[in-house]
Amino acid sequence: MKFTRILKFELLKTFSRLRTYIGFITIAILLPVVMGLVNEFGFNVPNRFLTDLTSSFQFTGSIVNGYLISYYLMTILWVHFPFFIILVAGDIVSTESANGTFRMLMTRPISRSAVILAKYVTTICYTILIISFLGLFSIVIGKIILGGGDLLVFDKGLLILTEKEAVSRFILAYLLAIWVQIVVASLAFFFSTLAKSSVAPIIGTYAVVISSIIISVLKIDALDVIKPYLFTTYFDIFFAPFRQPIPFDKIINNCLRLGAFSLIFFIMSYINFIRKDICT
Amino acid sequence: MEDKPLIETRDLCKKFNNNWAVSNLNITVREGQIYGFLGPNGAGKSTTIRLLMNLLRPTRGSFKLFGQKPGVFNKNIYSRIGAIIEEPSFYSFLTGHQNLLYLGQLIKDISEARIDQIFELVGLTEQKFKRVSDYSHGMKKRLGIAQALLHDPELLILDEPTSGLDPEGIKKIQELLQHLVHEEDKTIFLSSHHLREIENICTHVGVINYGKLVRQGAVEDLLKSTDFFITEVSVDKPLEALDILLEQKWINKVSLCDEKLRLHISRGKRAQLTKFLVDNGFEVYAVKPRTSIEDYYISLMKSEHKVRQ
Repeated sequence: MKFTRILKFELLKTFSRLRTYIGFITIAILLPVVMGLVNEFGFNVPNRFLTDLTSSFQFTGSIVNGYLISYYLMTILWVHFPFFIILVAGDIVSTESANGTFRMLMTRPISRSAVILAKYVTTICYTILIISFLGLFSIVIGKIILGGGDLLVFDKGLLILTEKEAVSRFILAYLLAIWVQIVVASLAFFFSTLAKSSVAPIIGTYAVVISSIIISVLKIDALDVIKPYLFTTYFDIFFAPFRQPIPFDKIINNCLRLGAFSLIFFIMSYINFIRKDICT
Repeated sequence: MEDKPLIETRDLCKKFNNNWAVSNLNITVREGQIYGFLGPNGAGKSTTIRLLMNLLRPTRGSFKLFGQKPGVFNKNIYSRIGAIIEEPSFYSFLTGHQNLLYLGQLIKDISEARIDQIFELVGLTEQKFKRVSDYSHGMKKRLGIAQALLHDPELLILDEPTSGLDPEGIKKIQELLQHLVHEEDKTIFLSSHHLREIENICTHVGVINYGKLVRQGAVEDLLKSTDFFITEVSVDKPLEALDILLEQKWINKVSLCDEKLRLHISRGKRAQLTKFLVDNGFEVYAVKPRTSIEDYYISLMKSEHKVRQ
């Protein structure tokens, strides 16, 4: 009963703040603009994909549709989109330290465990909502502006997915994207429990994510030793549903690893918060 | 039968880096007391309150609230306490009403009628649906008191409830505290820099300096134990009497206030004073001892300072 009230209060606080909506507003503006520009000026599928195929296939008409652009837009989930997650997750605990509201909140007859758990659940809710919004909005707006049709995926060869199958693969991809972004959210959340201002956890988390991505993508053999210990090494899992056959073994394996990262970050946040002196 | 202790600390200590903010603190606040917690800036008053409210973890020692040690499994003790810790900080993007409603619901079910009653009590009825970001400092202070009183707690822990307020705001809050004391029988643990405020409403005081308790007890008993008394004298020609008394070396300090002479003399010299005035042709209407917690506190701090030096 008390936990439900704490959670309700946390959700109210988070969704009463403007910064929570920055990501939603950006998506709502950016996607129609991108789709509109593609509709107006066209979209060149990178030549490297087509070079090998033009000798075997002849393309007539346009392969560009809402699904293809939505698929390409998923690449922002790597580096750019985590910013919106970090903006909220990195702020959710630290802002209470910075504003001194913990003095008010923590003198209620509620346990610190319940507070930190409610804040974490709120962070996860936000992550789920914004990723779902990105997925849903990109597909819907893409279909409205650019139309539907088969999805042509150029990866290790050409994969042609029917519209129905494309949608189901997008759903799986975005579910995996949520799982991936929960790791980012958990890391930002951990930093948020350490800091007394919102800026430090936001910059800190983003720095860690960027550095880890750089190490993960660099093709240097010496770095292979540390790559398994970086969560960004498993980031690309949300593209796996667009392979044929879908590599479920790899997906499950990577999801377990990412889940372990999230759990570790949450446990560290929990321990830190429980032991924390509230001095602000 | 003696009233039960609501706050009891035993050798309570808190260390920050290498600095003992609170050191072996033993205070007892009993039911029905209005306990004034005094001390200079940095003495450890707020740290003590934060320890009591579970915001800080004690380095050593322990404390009991309502006879129980607070812990994970008896958090409900805090539902019997209302607190203001330093400046009340609210969620500025929410209205005053939302802040009270949601913070209150973390303690127990709060009715709209109770919220209205509390807003009325602190004089914020017209502002209750405004965002807290639009509140003035004084309004935030009053909202702080409102959130502390909302769940009708038995014990109030108030850390500098009137600091930073204008004289009118101070008066309003002091009146409110008086009301709580006299009409609602609350036990109050109050830290303040306003010695007059402490003097007006407190039954007991504890003085802390450098994290250590210097004195503790009933206001009356503490003042009785000191030689530092103010005596108020009413005479027929106060201005003339003032001139003569100013020349007397056996009187520490003399001033005129509302046609009454205020003298700093020890208890034993009161008879000598009366005789002196009568011998000098004044008609003495009244000689009243007026002990002052302010003078007591200042003299205590001076002696503490000397001991440290």
